[in-house]
Amino acid sequence: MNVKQLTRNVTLALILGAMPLIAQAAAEIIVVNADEPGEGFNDPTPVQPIGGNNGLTLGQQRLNAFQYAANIWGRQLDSAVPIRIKSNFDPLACEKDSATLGSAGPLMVNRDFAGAPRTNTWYHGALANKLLEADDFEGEPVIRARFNSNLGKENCLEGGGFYLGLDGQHGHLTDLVGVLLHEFGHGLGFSNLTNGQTGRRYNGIPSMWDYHLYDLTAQKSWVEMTDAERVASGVNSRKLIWRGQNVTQAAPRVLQGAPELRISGLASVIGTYQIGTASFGPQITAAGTSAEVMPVVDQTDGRGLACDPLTANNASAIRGKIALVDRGTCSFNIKVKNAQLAGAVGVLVADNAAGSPPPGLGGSDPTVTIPAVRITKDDGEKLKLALKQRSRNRSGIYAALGISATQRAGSDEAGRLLMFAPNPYQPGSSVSHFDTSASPDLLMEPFNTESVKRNLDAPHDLTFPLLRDLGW
Amino acid sequence: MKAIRTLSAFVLFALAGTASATPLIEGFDNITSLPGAGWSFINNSTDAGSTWFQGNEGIFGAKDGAANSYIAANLTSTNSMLGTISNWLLSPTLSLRGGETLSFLTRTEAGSLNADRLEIRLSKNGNTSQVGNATDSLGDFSLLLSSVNPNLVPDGFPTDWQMFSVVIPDLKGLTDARLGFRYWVTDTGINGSNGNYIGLDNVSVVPTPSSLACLGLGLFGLMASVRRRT
Ligand SMILES: [Zn+2]
Repeated sequence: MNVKQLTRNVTLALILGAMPLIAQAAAEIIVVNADEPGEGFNDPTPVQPIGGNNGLTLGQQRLNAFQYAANIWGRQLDSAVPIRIKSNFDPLACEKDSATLGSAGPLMVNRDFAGAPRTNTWYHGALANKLLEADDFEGEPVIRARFNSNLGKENCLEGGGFYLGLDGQHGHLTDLVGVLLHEFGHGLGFSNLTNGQTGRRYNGIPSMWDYHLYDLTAQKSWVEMTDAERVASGVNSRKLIWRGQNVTQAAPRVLQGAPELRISGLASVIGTYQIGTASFGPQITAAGTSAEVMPVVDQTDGRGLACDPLTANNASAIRGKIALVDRGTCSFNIKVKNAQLAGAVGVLVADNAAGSPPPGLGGSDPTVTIPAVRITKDDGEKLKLALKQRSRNRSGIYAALGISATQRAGSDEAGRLLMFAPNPYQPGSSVSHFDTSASPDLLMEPFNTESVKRNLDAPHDLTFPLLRDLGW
Repeated sequence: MKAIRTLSAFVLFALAGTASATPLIEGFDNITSLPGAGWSFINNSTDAGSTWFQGNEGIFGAKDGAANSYIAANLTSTNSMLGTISNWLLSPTLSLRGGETLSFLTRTEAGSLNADRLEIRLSKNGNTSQVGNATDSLGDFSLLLSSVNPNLVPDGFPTDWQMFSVVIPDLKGLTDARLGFRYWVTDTGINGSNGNYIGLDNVSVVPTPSSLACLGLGLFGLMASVRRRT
């Protein structure tokens, strides 16, 4: 594609100065419309204005949302070179209950340009141009972004399509502006250029990302690792961190204290466990819940599903205790409610599928009054083995659910952000997002959350501090 | 190593090298060493689960020494929701004549209403570990020496460490024999009424005081001096 064609495709340009900015920093972001006539940004379907978006066709409303999101990024960034984002709507991965909302990444990368802070190191194209203070790509787009054209249709997060309003009042729909902000973030620099699945670096050369990515187990940054070590690090759940100073310094202003599960008692199980928190029941508080752990056993194979009211023996075992139950058959809130009715003061749900970190516990029941968390299958099995040394009503194993005195939700004990490194590897998500344990939710987590950020810097978010670590 | 502070232990110390019977002193400091020392674990419970395991200090502590330095068996001996536990712990092979005193400590959890039972059995059949393979089979261990809470009475098992002693019957000359500690509970499992958790500690087999008589009073003088030194 030559430059002339590109110019014809430019349908939207953020004109700086069109509105007064209280600005220090600013950058021009140009969206390059890569959709064919009649589709995506060019879809002529008539629509009603919604949430401050006055476009009268579907395509125009999409473009308006783009411009709105581009404005937010433009005010945050500082670059003398316009940033061109080649964008379109395409059918992306879909299922009935989940879908890829969008994807984005750098279209251009650069290294060893005049003024590059590090030699022999890849920089995302937009950042390289900013540092060079000139366009090394002759007007070519430097970012590629796609958004799901089928979202909300049958078998594609049915009924959960994009909300095109600009006011964030998206209800049960997916806020397109939030998704755009997220995807632009990837393109601007928030993405790993090293293949986490093979450990191979792009053209064998590290990127700035690899200098800041650090593995707490290997005690090495990704630049120092072999390919095999990077592969292992890419699935080292909650042991992969970001060492950049801007993020670490801003994190205490953004993140809350981390909910945590500490196990004490029998030596074989002592430690801090990875948890997923529940969307129902009380929040885990600093005061916390501490009690002995006892298992529910209501299946002949030794599991405890707690899908029915507990028998007298099971109820007696968990009264006043934190109950260990198994995932499966019924919803989480039913299990927790049954344990609560039997007198438990908390619940640990052991996953029945391998993988870490443990996801949260979905569901709702306003009558649940005890805290519950999910733990991994491996940790559940480890606990169950130790719990075989119990009596009818005692185990000698104690659990404390509380807020960490030393750790914030989403960072390690030294306050450095955890990066998303689930096991197994998730192509397109792993290593290029903040970890899901961050609380409050961050823009650059791999899953869209209720509270979509419109503010990219501390104390609201850590996306921009991370870009600053890269050189923005 | 945990010292067993019973009179029997001091007697045994004094007698070292003079008795023909094999002495046995086991404090269960680390049960992973038991198989190497000749002990055997056999679980004949319905849908067998856990074998005897290192004591869990969170339930109760050992009589002395490290808090977990005892051996335990519990309701997880069976994986069945409702079944029978017959979970064996066999001693090393001992050379016995009869007349020796077997001593052990045992207890369950305070306040437990799920009855426990411990049998101590003897085989005179050399280095055998034949206990059959059913919940009610005894194999070579048909001779019952002692039973703690034989009728599975809910509060019939001691809830604090209690010492039990039993004299080995006459074996008509030096005989290779093994002791069988059998955690035996019916109507148990998660849905059963019986079976909780027991500990076993300080198992010793020593000659009876009557066989010491011929050694005279000097022995007791030695014992006293040993005591003063410690
Ligand atoms: Zn993303």
